[in-house]
Amino acid sequence: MQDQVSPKGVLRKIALAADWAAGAMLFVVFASLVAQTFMRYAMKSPLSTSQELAAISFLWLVFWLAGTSIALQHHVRFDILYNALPDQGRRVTSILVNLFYLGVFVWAMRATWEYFVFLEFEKTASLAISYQIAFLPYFIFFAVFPLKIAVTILSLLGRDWRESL
Amino acid sequence: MSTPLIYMLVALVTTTAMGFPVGFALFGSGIFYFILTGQDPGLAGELILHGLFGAFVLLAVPLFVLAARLMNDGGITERLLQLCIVLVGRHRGGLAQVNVMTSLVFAAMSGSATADAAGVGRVLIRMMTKGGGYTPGFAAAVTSASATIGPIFPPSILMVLYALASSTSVGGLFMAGVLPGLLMTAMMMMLVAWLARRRNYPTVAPPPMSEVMGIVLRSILPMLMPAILLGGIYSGAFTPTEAAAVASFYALVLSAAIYRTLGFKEFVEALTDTARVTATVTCVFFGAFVFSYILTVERIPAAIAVFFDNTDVSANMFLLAVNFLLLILGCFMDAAAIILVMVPLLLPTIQTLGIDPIHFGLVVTFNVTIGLVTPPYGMVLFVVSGVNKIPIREILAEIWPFIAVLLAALAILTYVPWFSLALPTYFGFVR
Repeated sequence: MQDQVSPKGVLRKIALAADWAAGAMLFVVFASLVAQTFMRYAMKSPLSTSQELAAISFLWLVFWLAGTSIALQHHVRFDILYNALPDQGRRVTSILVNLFYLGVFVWAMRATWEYFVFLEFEKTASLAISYQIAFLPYFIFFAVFPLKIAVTILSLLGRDWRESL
Repeated sequence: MSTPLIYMLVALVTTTAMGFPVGFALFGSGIFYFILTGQDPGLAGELILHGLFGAFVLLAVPLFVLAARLMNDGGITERLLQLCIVLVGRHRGGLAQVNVMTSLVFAAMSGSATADAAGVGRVLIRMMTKGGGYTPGFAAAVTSASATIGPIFPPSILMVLYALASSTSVGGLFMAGVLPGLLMTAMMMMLVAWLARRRNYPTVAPPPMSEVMGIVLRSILPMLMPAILLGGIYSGAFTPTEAAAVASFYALVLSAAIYRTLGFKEFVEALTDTARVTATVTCVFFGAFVFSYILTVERIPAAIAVFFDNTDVSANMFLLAVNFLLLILGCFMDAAAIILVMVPLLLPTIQTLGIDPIHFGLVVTFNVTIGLVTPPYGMVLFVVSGVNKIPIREILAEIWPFIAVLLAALAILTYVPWFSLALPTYFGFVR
C-alpha cells in the first residue's frame, strides 16, 4: 500500500500507463494494416489513409516509449567493457558520458525547435494532418531525453548511485 | 576523413564502450558532428523523421514479433511441437531432433530467434530435462543453436532490417533464406544424430496411431500460416509488411477465437511487450539513419570500395574478411545494430566486386545470427539461460559442436552462392 503512494510507486504506475498507451499505438498499426489488406484484397476497395496512419502510429510508439518508460539501461548497449570496470569507475565514466550527451542535446534544442516551427505549414499526403502533429512525439522525446540524462547524472551523484549503474 | 568525423567517431566509440545506448550514441554523436561542421543540428530530426516515416517495410518488425508472441501465448507452437514429435521423435535423441525440427517450423512463421528460444524452446527444455534423459546444458544448447534457424528461414526480421539498410527486395531475401534454412536444419539434425548415438540418448515412444490422426488434424490450421504468409507475398497479394499483419491477425484468430487459449489480458500484455521491443530496436535504427548519412557525406563507403578495388582483392577474399569481421562483432554487439551500421558501409564495395546484394544479405544475416549464440554477448544464450535458470557456462560447454556446424554452414553458404540465389533467380528476383 505504501509502495503505491511512494514516488517510486507513482512512477511505476506512470510507466505502466505509458506502456499501455504504446500497446494501443501498436494496435492501431496492426489494425490499420489488417484493414488495408482486407479492403484491397477482399473488397477490391483500397484504403488511401491506412498506410500513413500506421506509419504515424509507429513513429508515435517509438518516440513515446523512448521518451517515457524505457530506461536508458534497457536499451541496446555494448556493455562488456563497461561491466568490467569497478563500480566507482563505472560511476565516473557514466557521469562523464552523460554530461557529454547532455551538452550535445541541449545545444541542439534550439535548432530542433526551429525545425518544429518550420513543419507548421506542411501536411501529410493522405491524412492531411500537420507534420507538427504527426512528428510531435519526436519533439517531446527531444525535450524529455536531456531531462532523463540529467536525472541519471543526479542519481549517479546521489547516495543510491549504484542503482543507476 | 575530415577532422570532425574523427572527433565524432572517437565520441561514438568511447561512449558506446562506456555503456551508453548504441542508438542514442549514434544519434548524439551525429548531432555532435553537425555542430562541429557548422551544419544545422535540426538536420538529425529531419533525417530520422522522414527516414522512419518512409520506411514502410520497418512496420513488419513489430508485427512479426507480435505474431510470434501470440503463437507462443496462444498455445499454437505447442500443437506444432506435438506434430514434430510424431515426425521425428522415434529416432535416437528424439526430443533433441524434435527441438531442431520445431525451430524450423516456428521459423516459417515468426523470423525471431529469441521468440523461438523463449517460447517453444522453454517447453522443450523442460521435456528434455524432466525424465527425458538429457542434461540441462545440452537441452539449452540444442534450443539455442536451433533457434538461429529463425532469422534465416523466411520470414526474417533481420532480413527486413538488411533490406532497409541496402534497398534490397524483402521478397528476394526471404526466398534466399529457404535453402540455407533447410541446410542448417539438416546439418544440425545430423550432428544431433551423431551425438545421440555416442551418448546413447533415448528415443520418444511414438503416440498410438489413434492419437496421431488427432495431432495431425490439430496442427493443420497452424501449418497453414507459412502458406498464407509466403504464398501471399510471392503471389503479390500482399507486401511483406501486410504479410506480417496478416500473420499476427491469423495467430490472434486461432488463439483467441478458435482455441480460446488467449484472453484480453494476455493480448494487451503481448501488445505492450512487443511495443517495448520495437522501440528499443528502432532506437538503434534511427541512430543509424544519422550515422549512415554522415558516412555518405564523407564518402566513406565509396572510399572503402575504391580501396578494395585498388588492392585487387577478390570477391571471395572480401567475403572471408567480412565473415571474420562480422563474427567478431557478433560476439560483442547486437545483431540489428551490426546490420544497420555495417551494411551501408560495405554496399558500394560489394557492387564494385560484383557480389549479389541478396547473396551478401544472406551471408551478413547468417554471420550476425551466429553472433546470437556466441559468448560473451549472445542474446539467445541470455534468453535461454534466463528463462530456464540454466547457467551460461553449462550451455557453453555443450554448444561448441553446434557452433562448429553453423560455421561450416556459413562457409558453404558464402562460397556456394547457389544456395542463396537458386530460388530468387528462379522466381525472378535476381537477373
